[in-house]
Amino acid sequence: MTRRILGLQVAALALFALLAAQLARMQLLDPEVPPGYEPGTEARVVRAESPRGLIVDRGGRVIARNVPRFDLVVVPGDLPRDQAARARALVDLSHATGVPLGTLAGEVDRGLRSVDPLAARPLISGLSREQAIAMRAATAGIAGVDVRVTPGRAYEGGMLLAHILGHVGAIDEEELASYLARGYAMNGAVGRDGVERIYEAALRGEPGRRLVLTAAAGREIATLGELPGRAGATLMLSVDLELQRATAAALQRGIATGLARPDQGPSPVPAGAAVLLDARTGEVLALVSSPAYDANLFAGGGDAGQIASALVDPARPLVDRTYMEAHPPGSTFKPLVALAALQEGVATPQTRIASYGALYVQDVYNPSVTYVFGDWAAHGTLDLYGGMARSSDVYFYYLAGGYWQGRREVFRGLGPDRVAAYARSAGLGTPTGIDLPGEAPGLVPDPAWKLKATGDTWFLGDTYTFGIGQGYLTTTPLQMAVFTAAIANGGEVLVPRVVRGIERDGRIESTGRRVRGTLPVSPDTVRIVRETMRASTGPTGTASSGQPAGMTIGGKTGTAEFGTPDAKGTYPTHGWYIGFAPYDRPEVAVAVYLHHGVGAMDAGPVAREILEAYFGSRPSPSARSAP
Amino acid sequence: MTAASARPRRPALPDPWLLLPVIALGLLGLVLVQATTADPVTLHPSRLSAQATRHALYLALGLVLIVAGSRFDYRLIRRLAPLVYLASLALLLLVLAVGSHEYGARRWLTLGGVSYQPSELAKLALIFAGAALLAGREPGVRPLLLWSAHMLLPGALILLEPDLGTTLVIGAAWAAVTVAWGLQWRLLTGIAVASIAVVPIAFTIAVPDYQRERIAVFVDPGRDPLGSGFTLRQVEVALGSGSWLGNGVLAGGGSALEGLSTRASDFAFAQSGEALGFLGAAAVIVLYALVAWRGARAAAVAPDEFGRLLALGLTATIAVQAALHIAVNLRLFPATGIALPFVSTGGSALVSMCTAIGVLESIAAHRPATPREQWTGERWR
Repeated sequence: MTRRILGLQVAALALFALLAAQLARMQLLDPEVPPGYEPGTEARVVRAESPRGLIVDRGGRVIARNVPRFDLVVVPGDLPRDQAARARALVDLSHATGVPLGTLAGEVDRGLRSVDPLAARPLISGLSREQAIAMRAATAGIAGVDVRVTPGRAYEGGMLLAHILGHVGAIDEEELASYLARGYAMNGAVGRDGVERIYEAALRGEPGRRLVLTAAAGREIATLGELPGRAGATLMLSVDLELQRATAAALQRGIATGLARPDQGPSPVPAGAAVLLDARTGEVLALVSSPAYDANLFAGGGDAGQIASALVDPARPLVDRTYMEAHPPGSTFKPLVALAALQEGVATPQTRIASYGALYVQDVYNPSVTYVFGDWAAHGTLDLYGGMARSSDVYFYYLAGGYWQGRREVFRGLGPDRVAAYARSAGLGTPTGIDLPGEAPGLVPDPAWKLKATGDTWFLGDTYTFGIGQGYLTTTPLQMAVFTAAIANGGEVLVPRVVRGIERDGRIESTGRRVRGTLPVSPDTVRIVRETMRASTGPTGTASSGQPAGMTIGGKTGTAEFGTPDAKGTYPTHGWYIGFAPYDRPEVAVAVYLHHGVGAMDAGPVAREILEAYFGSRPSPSARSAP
Repeated sequence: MTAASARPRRPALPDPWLLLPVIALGLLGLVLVQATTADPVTLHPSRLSAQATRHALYLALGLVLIVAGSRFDYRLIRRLAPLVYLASLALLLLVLAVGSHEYGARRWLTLGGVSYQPSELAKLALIFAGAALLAGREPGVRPLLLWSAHMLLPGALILLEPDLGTTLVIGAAWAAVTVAWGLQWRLLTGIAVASIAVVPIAFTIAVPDYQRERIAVFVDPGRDPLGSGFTLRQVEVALGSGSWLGNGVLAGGGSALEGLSTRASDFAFAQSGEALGFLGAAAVIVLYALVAWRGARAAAVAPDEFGRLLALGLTATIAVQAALHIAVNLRLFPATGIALPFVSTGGSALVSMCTAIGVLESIAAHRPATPREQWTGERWR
């Protein structure tokens, strides 16, 4: 058997000899070493963000594109370790770049003490292309400084789309961990606000990775492997830039006329918002909040003074009033009360109620006290069409709260809980789910809420003010537009969206039509309410100012008191207008909100101009069929 | 052959040529671990890092085991073999049930901060059991089947962890013992043919996806340039940059293997080649060849068949594992995480391997006296 052992011994030696031969081949005869390799060379994976996706408007105009940004940076860790040598290098650097030595030394000191001395620290941000080239030439051959090119963002449309777009910027401290987990670099740029934030994943694409060999000083010697990234997807907004421009101009005029109204308080804020929705799909065609700011303000290289003034401006230009703030909707809420009353059998289109200019309610505890709930005029006796067209407050006090003569209930109203339930079914009181960040939910009050929030019980008067869209109720203009669209499209509460499609690798993925819910009413009920809104735009209606010439629409005005009354007891008012058009086959829903103004006189004309802009540029099917 | 025989005194060890490579390789391992783990900023390079300290302690324990083993009568193992074998199976089952995961495999049992790799015991236990089973039996089909079952049981459990490398090592050791046992050539040929037939089937059934991917990458490193292909590329650069004399250890600065988490275990040979160059790495190969040669020598001169099979099986285990590790590092074999005996970090492996050397020393001690020893009266026991 020792012969077999000898055989195994020889086999083992042969195996080791083979290994030695391969070792010689790999180390001596055919070494796979890249040129320039030296000990101390290490392999690193370098990530490179892919180009960010473009943003285009509905017409395909490029709204957001990528531009190179040039920054002069210092990498403290690449400077000489030795103190004296570093001091000399800093003097050279200061000469070459013109950066004061003190600034330079301070930045380097901070860098060396920080967690990552190899992180580039900006010395001069936002160089022009010419400056960048000159600076690169001046600093050539000096270790530790570099002109870095980082992708920046340039936005078209100035103030028109700033709220929708948002901007791209440095990662927030508190969000850093979550972004690092997704593979972002510590000094990476991410979408902040607007669609830049909401569609960050699509816009970013996938970063490429390269495996490189780097020498001791960080110089790349060779690329060992490469995984190409995927460029970001192009976002197509549903918003049309030109329509947005027309809407902004109209809104500006409305804000101006509204501010000129008397009794608007000591320091009125020139603010307003307008929304134009495709009532069939939920796509946002125009979304304007005023005042606005320039989209490029925060996109890097923005003027610090302008940024500071935008932040402290009392008119708060950074807030998008179309969806970030809620206000009492006033009489534009009446179509909802009408829907509820018809569906619940509280009223029929023929229900007649007389308004003598006010409703008087005795105090429940103290009959000697009588509260007065005023109407804006003594309308006489009206049916539902008249009540809506004249916007009779007394009519809707009845529908919402009913009416008692003494202890006798002469008219049974909906009561606050039913009004609230219908309001919620229309999407009020909760965010609409638009693809923009920071949406306000608004508030739909009810007795339970009031008890919890204020400790007070709910009174009949609360129901009355609720019925005319005042009191605790607040809505955003966007919510009102979605509600109007639901009336227009037969009851579907749509999820509005500002991005229409995402283009990936040449294919456009639609963001899709999404329905949040359906108004719990019959088709007949919707039809009747639509008719009342048409009546409102008729010659005797309050909402006729919103109707473009030669077109029939459905509309409703609102004038909601807010704030504190003046010496005469008059409150400043918000002006509202909601409408859908064309009446027969609604395509769009519009909602206008003016912080100061009167619905019929100020908000209505804004809506009309927006609708004219829409139908002027895009003939409706009915308009096209006309000769 | 025996170096100590020239001296009149009883030698410290029956075969120092088995011990010296172990010391040399163990110290190399210590240096490499230190080079990998020493923090160049906060620790002086000569101060041992925590991992290096642990390696040094295990190495010392291993050397004690070798010396102790040489004074121990290896024939005791014959009685202990069934117990050790069953214990190793129990531990393998336990590790599958409650073992801790690392790199996607369940290979470690962790108790009170100390982790243990049961497959290391299984390697020894199988050889113990095989030698006990086959010694004194005529080579034939029935004992062969029994012996095969002894190998397949732990082999399958280890493959389930999964740990393909260790499975291959015990398979090869099993084959070496079978050959040394004296199994008829026609049966050996049959086994070889059957193995070749079984490999593709085993590949589809038992080889996990990650291993298959590694094999695919082995064939085409460009397949996953930043993943396992990256590792292979780094290993090539590390070896290539080592050239004749290497880049030195503890020289500061990075290694091409920087960032490879398994550099001190699965790529210890490439690390040696980078640090010590061709001359150093070739010396490492020579040291393993020496261990293989002296181990087989102990088998050839063993006083009984049990000793012969035991020595040969243990030697084969060490030699095959070393050769497999080196082959993986030299791009001759698809990547499978297997440690380099005596060099790689890992306490259980070091203890097992030193135990094997201790047993080999014991067998060497019991060889029949050479004529000269009979003449000088110099004998062990």
